[in-house]
Amino acid sequence: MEKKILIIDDEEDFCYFVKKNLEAISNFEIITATKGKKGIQIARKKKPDLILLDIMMPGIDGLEVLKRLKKNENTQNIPVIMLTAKDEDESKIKALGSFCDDYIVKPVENVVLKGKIHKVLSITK
Amino acid sequence: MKKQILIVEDERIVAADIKMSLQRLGYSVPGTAVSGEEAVKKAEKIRPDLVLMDIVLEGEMDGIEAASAISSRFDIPVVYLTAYADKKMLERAKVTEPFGYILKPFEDKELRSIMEIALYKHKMERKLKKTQQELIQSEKLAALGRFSSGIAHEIKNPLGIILGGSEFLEIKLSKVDSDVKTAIDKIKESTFRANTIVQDLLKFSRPSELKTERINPNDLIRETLSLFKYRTPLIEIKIKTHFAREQMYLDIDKNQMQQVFFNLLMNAIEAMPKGGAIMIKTYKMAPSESSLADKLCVIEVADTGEGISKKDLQRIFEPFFTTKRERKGTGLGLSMTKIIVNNHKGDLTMESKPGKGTTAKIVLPFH
Repeated sequence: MEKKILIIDDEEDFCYFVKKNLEAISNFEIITATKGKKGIQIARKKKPDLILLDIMMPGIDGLEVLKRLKKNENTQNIPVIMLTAKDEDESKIKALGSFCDDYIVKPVENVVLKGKIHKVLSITK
Repeated sequence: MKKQILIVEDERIVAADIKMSLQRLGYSVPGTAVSGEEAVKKAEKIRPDLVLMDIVLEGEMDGIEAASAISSRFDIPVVYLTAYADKKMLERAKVTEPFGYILKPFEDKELRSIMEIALYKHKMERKLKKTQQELIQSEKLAALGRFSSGIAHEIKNPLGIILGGSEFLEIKLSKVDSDVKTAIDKIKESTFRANTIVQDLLKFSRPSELKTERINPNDLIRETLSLFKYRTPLIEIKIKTHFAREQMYLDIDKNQMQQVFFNLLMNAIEAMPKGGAIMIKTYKMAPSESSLADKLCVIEVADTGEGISKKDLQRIFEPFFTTKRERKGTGLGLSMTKIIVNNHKGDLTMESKPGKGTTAKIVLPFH
């Protein structure tokens, strides 16, 4: 069965290319959301197998989205890979411990992204 | 060591008399000049600690013009020597910022006090200039740090999109045309390069905390050299080491200091595109170099490469200054290297002779 991946990132073009690229090189079904609030709604409704979540977003930021996902019993077991454009967020992400499963610093190559997704999915299945 | 004084005086008897006075006072006189032109030539060759200059000289260049050339070109202090001083001449002389005037005839004790004050004043001015330059440099770095932290996020996001877009095109088009594949590869390569620059910039904004451990620098250099083992350019480059026999242990951050050695070795290799030799030395500083010498370890990385011009050498630690733009240098490597060494309470200096090679010298306190 196809794995469903949800990308929550306010950069619409980034979401577009990640969706196109992952669909081309894997069997994932990709859903995107460009706002934190919308992302949470989609996660609850569609129950993706994994979420790629950007940290810095206007409105509800990635850390708040993560908190809300982990509080809700429908979404708390979905593995999350955090996306960041800032190296300095690494320490913040590490502090999240088991709340997030991995992280990726932008810009990221398809092969790295795909590798990380497979790794997290294989650990958490 | 005796201070060297160059005498510029067109009356030979007077010059000989001054020379004797200076020698009696403990100075050395490596030469005398009788004209302004000769004074400039001798100052360039001898590089004395001070020039004692007669204002009125025969020939096209008078003492004031010669003094102006000597102090601006070689940074050598000048003390004027004159038998009479009219207001107009003094005004002209003042513009050249002399370190003193002495009126002929004079006694030894007058000469001595004026010479000593001039030498001390010049030493202090040099020190002040160096401190000012360091201050400007650190202010610049701090401003750059604040700026880069702010823009890093704004740049990395579009870079993510450029890379995603390039890889999308790669999937869609590269099978059709090899020129397209080459173009996409170049876009990707530039994206990574821009990303590296942003990451390097961020290191300025967040000088990472030192995780120090006590390490023998010789061991760390050996470890760093092993990283170069499989690099192809080394085929043409011989690396020699001469390690201190004394056990000197440094309190250093292993990763950061390894980065320092790596950067210096890479620079040395890149300075020798046609091959050459690198000499790495560690030694305890000679007592004559500093009063703290018995606590200071010196690490030298010398190459036999192209060398760096004097003009470039003055700017070598400035962020974004690079002599290898065509080789895709970002101009941040050496500035970062110096920051790391300074953070370890040490210093990094560079000496170079164009056509002969460059030596990077690190001084660090040891235990």
